[in-house]
Amino acid sequence: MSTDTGTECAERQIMYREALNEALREEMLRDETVFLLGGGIGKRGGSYKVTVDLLDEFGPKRVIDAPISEASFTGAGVGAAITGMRPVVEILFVDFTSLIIDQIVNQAAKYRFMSGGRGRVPMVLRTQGGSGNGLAAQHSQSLEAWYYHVPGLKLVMPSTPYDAKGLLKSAVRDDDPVIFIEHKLLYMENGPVPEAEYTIELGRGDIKRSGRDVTIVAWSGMVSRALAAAESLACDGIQAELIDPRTLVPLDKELILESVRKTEHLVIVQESVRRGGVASDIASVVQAEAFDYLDAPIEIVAGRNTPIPFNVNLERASVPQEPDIVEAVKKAVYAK
Amino acid sequence: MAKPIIMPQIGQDVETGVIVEWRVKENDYVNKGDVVALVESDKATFEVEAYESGVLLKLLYDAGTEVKVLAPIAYVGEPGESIEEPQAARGSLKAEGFGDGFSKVSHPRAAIETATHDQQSRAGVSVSPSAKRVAREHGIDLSKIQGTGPDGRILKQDVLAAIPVAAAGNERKMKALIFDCDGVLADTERDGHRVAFNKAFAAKGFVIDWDFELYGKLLEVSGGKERMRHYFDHYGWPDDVSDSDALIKELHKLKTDFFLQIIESGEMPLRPGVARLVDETIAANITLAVCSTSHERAVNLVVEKLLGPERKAHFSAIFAGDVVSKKKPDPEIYKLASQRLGLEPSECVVAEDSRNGLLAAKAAGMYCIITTNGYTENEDFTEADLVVSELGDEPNIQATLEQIERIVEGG
Amino acid sequence: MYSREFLEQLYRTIYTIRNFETQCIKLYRQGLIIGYFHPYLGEEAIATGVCTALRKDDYIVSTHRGHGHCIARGGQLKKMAAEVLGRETGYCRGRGGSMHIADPETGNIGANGVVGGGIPIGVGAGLGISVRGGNQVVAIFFSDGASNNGVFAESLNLAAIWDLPVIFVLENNQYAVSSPIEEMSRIPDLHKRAEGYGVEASMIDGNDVLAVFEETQKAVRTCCDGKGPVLIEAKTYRHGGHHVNDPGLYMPKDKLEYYKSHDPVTIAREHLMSRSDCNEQDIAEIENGANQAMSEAVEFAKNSPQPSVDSFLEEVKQN
Repeated sequence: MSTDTGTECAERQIMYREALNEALREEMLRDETVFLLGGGIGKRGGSYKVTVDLLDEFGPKRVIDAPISEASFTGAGVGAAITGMRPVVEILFVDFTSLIIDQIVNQAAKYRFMSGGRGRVPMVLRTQGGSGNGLAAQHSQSLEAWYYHVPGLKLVMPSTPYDAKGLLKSAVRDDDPVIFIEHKLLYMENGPVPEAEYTIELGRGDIKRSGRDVTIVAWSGMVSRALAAAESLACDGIQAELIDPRTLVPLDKELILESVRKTEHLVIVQESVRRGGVASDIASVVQAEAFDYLDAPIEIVAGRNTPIPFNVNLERASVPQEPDIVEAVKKAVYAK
Repeated sequence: MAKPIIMPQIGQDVETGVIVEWRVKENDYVNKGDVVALVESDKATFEVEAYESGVLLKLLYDAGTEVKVLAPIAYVGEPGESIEEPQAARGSLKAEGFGDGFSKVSHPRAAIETATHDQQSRAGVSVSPSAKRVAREHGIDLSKIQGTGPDGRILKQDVLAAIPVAAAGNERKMKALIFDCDGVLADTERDGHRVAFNKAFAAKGFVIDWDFELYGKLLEVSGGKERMRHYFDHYGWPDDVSDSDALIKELHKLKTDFFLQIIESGEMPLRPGVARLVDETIAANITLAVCSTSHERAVNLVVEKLLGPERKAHFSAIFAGDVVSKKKPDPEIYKLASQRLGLEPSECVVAEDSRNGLLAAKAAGMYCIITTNGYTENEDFTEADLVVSELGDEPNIQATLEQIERIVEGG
Repeated sequence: MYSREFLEQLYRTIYTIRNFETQCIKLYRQGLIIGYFHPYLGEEAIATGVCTALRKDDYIVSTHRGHGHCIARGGQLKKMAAEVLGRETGYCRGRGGSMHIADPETGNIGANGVVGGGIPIGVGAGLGISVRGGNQVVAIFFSDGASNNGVFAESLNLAAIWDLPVIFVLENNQYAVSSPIEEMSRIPDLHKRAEGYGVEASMIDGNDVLAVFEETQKAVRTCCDGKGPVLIEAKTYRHGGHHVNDPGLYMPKDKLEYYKSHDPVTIAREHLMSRSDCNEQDIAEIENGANQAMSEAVEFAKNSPQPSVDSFLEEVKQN
């Protein structure tokens, strides 16, 4: 039986950023109300090359280079969305979304509700986060918790090229604002992506690896680290089941709960700082709804309580690495 | 009834206003819109106007009185009309419910009570929620358990180990009953996959029907996509197919969704005798498990929907999906099961429906009974410990737990 | 030059706005409207003049002081009254309130509770028009207070570099809450800022509805010719404090007197009487009609049901 893990027959391998590019292109061909807005996305093709060649194909009316005035061009996205368009706005670093908070939190997220349901904001806000490139404190954060917390937003964080393409297409087609957070270390990662068109429903998680002994929940840049940890643990006879929620809001809660009821051990891995992060919320949901199925306390492996340092070793030490995940799993299953 | 003139709302968090002066006397006639009084908050002065015309029947308070906002201060109406008695609305008012600020008396914390509805562990020893659940389900006294977790925490495995083995006399030799899924728990090929394929064809508007016999032949091709491709190659592709790969993929996705829907709906029945045998096994406190190389989600759904969540809870393990790399007849999955269940292979009995399954179980050193189905009845089951066409329900029971146990006891 | 019908409609609109705000203040004092209420008293000519120059398929974005714009765009009094009373029958089912009233049918993207929050949204509507094609325009209402916010500068620039069909209507009522414009800006004639962005700008008497109308007509033509955006600074004055609980004690009495004597309702009435054969009786008829409509709206609102808490809890469970 096929799942949507993209492991079906021999598929071509393309990069995460290419998969995103294809998604944008396909959606722009399919629907002329879709247009792109961001700094340097047109002529330059985007700093991470996600929007290459789209200006040539669709022209400057649909691939719009904006000045460094994030609040206003994000707000422009909101206004265009309210009045019948489907803009995809890019903010180059999630760290800079601090500049657009009003338009996202007070305007986009609330417009549908405040208008009694008559108004919609079908906008996608694309951005990227994560550490590992020595870009230091203001260019390396993982800030998904900010948007996880606001009613009226959807929040998506793909970890593979397959997931990225399918989810971005669905995000564009969604009638509500979607915060789509990519990861800077994943842009050049290859993965299988079918030629044929497909979408991935928002709110459906994915079992990246099946196992019986412990459930690991991880997303975005942490998925590959968790997968590597799982392989290493298998050598010690510990079979980990890896769940990638893919969409954080709405969360595929049942998928996680089902897994925990089976394994009775849970480890959650997140790159962002532990305090007030999404992992803590997932842990609280699991303890509330699968309390009788926990044979050990829930382990959370998370970023340390610090801005991301510049020095590469300090940077590495600030966020979860494979050995940290292995250690947490062993603790959860009482292994020596 | 006379209509009230109220102290207006004159500020965001303002609770009272003061009547500065009256502009009218009792028994004056007032017109709608006339200013009848001046009131003030601590910030500003406001005019109070009459919202109705009529005779000023009563002024409730003298000038200078502080009155609660929105409370009546006068009444307007026809002479002789009755007036509601004002509620106590004057004087200085505090928000209700808090008295003089928050309670200043500190209460000693109530002694923390340990949960008495669960079995009590020894004082100071922690018990994991999973362990508590299993103890509850099996009536185990936690105070008798030695925990193997950190600081002596009692874990699920500790409670499982304490579940008593059966009745007086010989210690039971059979400790586990392991079911294959497809074809054993339910006729998934005939009633599930086959039906799902047909629904997928119908959804695409193709007039194709894989009946029982045809499907039996097609089962020789393993893999759903390969099976469909094989069918089209031999019986002809539908008209106007430009991209056969895409069509196969689409059909397969449809088929998968339909298959899960069929299971989800409970349309597909358990094979006769399965529920009965599972219940007998639960009653005897023998371990239950499932070993299948089919997709994880589907297997779990079959157990959940067809056996029900209560029976499912008694299964110690469901091994499915890609949990092993080698499929049956390789014994890897059964070896994994015995290892995980902590049992010797010779203590385990497997229920299978095919030769591949039989070979896998035997290679792992386990006992194996066979329930044949329409698609496997002609296979070679020489090595099996028992072969029946179905486990069976009344009046056609063909295999009971007792019979199976006797096989194991016999050695 | 203007038909009697046209002038009557202008007067009717201004009077209706004045009446709506006045009656709502009374409802507030009776405890039927709660929270924040920001009356548009004294500024009615701007919303009326601008909206009259727009087409049905144009868009507007307004401010926290947005009832006047909603009415001028053809908003229904009953739904507006019900909304400010928080009832289920209101424009936003009681969930938006005074500061967030929106009406897609009249191209009213909405009032906004964040000062300046609507400006980029209006630019966005303009961007949509530019991408799709067509000659709709957008009128963005904002205040002198908002003109000091970062998004105003950014939005002006974006509209300029992308030649968007946007009319920035700066309602300079000379106070940002309680801060007078002379203290908040070195140059109180705020339209001068537009020059730095290459945007055509003008300043007019915001209390004269015909002046507002004529200037807006020019701006609409400019935008439709693809030469937008345009900024119009309309000078006006509030008749009271920032909101219904602010007595506005910081507003100098003489200035207030001056602007009250230069009342937009009076000016509109004078236009009507001097430029057509309308007389006192006709005016009274118009006013009675408006009063009647408002009474009906208030009755409707008062008799409307509160939103159901149970339904609300069900709705939010899905989120």
